[in-house]
Amino acid sequence: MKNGCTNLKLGVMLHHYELGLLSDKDRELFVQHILECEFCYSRIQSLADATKLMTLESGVKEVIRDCDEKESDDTYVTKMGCRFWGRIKPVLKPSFVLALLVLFVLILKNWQFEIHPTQEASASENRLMITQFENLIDPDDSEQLGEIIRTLLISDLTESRYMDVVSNQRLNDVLRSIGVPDPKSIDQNVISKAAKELKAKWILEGRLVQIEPQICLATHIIDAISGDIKASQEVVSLPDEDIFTFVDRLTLQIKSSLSLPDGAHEEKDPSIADMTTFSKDAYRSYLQGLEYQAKFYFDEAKSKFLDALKFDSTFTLAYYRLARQGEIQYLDDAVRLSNKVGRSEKKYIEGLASLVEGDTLAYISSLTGILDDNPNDKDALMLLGNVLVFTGDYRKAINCFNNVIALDYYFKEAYNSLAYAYNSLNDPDSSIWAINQYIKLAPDEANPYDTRGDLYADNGKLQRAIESYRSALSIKPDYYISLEKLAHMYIFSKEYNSADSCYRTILNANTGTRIPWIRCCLSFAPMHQGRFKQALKILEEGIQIDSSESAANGISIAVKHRLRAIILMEMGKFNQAVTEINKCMEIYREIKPNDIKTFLDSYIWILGAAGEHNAVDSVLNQLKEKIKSTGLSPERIRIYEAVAQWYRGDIDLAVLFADDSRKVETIKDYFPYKYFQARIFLDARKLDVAVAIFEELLKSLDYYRLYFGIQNVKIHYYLGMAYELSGWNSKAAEQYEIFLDLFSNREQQIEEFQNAKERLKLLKNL
Amino acid sequence: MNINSLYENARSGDLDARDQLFKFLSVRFRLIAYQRIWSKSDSEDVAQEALMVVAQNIMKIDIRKSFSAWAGKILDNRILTYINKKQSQQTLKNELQLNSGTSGTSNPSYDLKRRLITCLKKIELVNSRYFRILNLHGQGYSTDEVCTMLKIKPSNCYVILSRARSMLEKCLETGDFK
Repeated sequence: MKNGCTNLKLGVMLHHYELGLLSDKDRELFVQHILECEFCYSRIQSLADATKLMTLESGVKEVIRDCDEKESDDTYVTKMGCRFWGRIKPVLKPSFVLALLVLFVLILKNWQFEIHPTQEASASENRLMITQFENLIDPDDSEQLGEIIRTLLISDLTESRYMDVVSNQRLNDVLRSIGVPDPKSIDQNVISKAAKELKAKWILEGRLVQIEPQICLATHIIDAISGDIKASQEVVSLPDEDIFTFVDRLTLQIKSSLSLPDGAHEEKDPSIADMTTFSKDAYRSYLQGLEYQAKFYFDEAKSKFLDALKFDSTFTLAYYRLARQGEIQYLDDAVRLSNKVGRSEKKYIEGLASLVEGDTLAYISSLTGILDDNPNDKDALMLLGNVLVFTGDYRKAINCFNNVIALDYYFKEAYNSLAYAYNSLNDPDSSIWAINQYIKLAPDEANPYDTRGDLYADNGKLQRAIESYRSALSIKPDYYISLEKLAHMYIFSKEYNSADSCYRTILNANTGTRIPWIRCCLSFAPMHQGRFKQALKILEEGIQIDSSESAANGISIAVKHRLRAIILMEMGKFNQAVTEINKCMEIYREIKPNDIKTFLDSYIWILGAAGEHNAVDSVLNQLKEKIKSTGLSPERIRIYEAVAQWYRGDIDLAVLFADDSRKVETIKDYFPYKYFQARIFLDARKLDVAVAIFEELLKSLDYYRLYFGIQNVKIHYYLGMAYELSGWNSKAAEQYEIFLDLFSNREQQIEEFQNAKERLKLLKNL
Repeated sequence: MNINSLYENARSGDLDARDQLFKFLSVRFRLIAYQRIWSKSDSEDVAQEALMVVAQNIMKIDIRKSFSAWAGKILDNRILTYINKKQSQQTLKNELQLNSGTSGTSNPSYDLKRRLITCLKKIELVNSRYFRILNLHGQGYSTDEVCTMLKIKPSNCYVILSRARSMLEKCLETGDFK
């Protein structure tokens, strides 16, 4: 192919050409060269996407600007300055150096001329860093007044298109990176270092010199390079003026003190109260809620956000934050009020709404839009990483989390997410490293230990999981999420009374949205012991309480009906099982009429087991017709077809479909699918595959195994069979023993139980 | 065989050469137009228009100097006409909207952007002049003006960018330029 450039004199201009920097004449010559030179043509092709980003993408262009070292003032002049220099040159006829010195002096004298960027200059060149406001009246700032004013000011000024304000988050990141973890204890030296790191043009310092009867805030605007004070002012609140109006006035005063283009003073300045809240108490509660949310203390965070809403029922961001931590019932309010908030917050809300609707692509698009405006937005990076985990794109998720850590080494949530993502990639070493980092950064918080417990549980390390959850609870006894998981672990370790006690503690506390789910969890221990009637009764009681408690418990009720259907099916009561599963589907369809995927697996399962093959076929046909709108791939449907054929008795076809279904990434970790696959392969005597799947199912200690508790116990029986058929008698005996032990306190006859006893006897006699 | 030779053969009546020539031009024109217009559909149109002009005139005009210069000039004129006519800003913004593709996959443009930024920051440590030159150009200075300000020759200026480009290319491929 191409040995090299055919005209090196032109070839060296290639990058200039790519970035559109050539004069017209040179460009013409270069275009001619591309037509003639294969080498240069292919080089352009290879970097086309990257050069496009460098030419057009604002985030990349900002990086290029930031990378520029402004070392020599004689080179860092505006274009206007250079032209001015061109005009004075013939008059003074200076040497080249003298001409530059003259210009330099003129620039220093006429600093308006220097600092006034042209209207086309990007906002990021006018970067303002706002440090912590000192509260001289209350040095601890116990009411957080200084902090409230400062964060409101940042929010308000951020809306300007003519300036860039360093976010609180970014400032704290940089402070930590230069060894100052506490943003309240910084001196001038640290401020200068931070400003240099952030390439800030101005620094705003503030002091609250009075808070009663009116607020008086003294501010200085400092030139970040020279250290000179550009402007000083005292802003006093008017009588009866609320803090938000005060901040609005403060914003205008600050903008007028900065040398911004005319457009900055003409642009619409939204009221900060409109964008946030009119209530200081609401805002304070909101800030406290954010702190709890960062620690994963969701109950406390919820309480604070709800407090904020009591003070101001139109506080959009409080609704958003509630919805974000799973209280989806607040999302509609966030969307309804989203016109009030800033640009970036609006994208967050719209993104979350898309996600809840199931439109993951739109959600990702919102997040990437936010990152286009601000590539350093850790929140958006974290959310993007989390959604990539959800879609199974673990490597790209890990990249996101690592990018967050690159921005802020101390951002502990990133380590939390990294630990899970590495675990999903079967990289235990990296997972352990990440969780240990998290623990180092937050040794006094419960969540790191809770995450560690999850990782141990996922890898089948029961005792270590129990210890970790206990550690979390020793730090925070009301960390109910850990208590729930500890209860699950107790079931795996057959400490059924302890499990029950944990669940009941959570129920008695009666906090959080998980209460209906915990009522379901009470049935797990009985199911694991073969006490099916007891489990059914518990579920029935749970359904009644859920129904009387709240109309919002519909999905939890559907979940309980489904479980009742499965238990009844295992008891051989197929008609009742079908009734229960129909109730489940009916309830769910009322809540989510467009979602035909959820519970579908159980629906087909129960109908198939009950011999209602025509009904199964009808469901499958409907599914195939709607395949595009459901987002299901044809391979995903294979598992349903496999189950349908299995119950029909056509094992060959069932195996074919089961084989296909194993290629589907998104279902590979879902317990019932794997259980069916394994059972089908066992029946078809594909023993190696059956064994592999059963063993895999038993590896992880997750709650799916508890929910499908009867099947979970029966895995031991079927794995025993698979071992036995493979000739591994001792392993088979071991599994039968486990199975028999688990169901030793059963209430009723279980077919597999008798078989297991006989098989074990035979094996022992061999 | 190069473009000028293809032209010569096409003018002599070689139909194969003519076909090859237009295929060659079609691909090159599209890339060149795209590099200026940054809109796939519009650059396609512009390239097609230029090709039509070439096709209409290739046998009528006896190009003495260089066919590639003549063809390049036609394309350049078409591009300038387009740029003068169109409000390309919104189109460019739409082009930049990152298309996430299918569920379960990440956004390739976003990934490239991340890698590009990482590489640029690495290059900053060893070739700060690159960014100086880019930013001065960004402020509206011509190459001559930039060279005067930085006290370098134009050839030096091209070499600085050329070297940085090589580092960038290697870094994007392998993760580092060393």
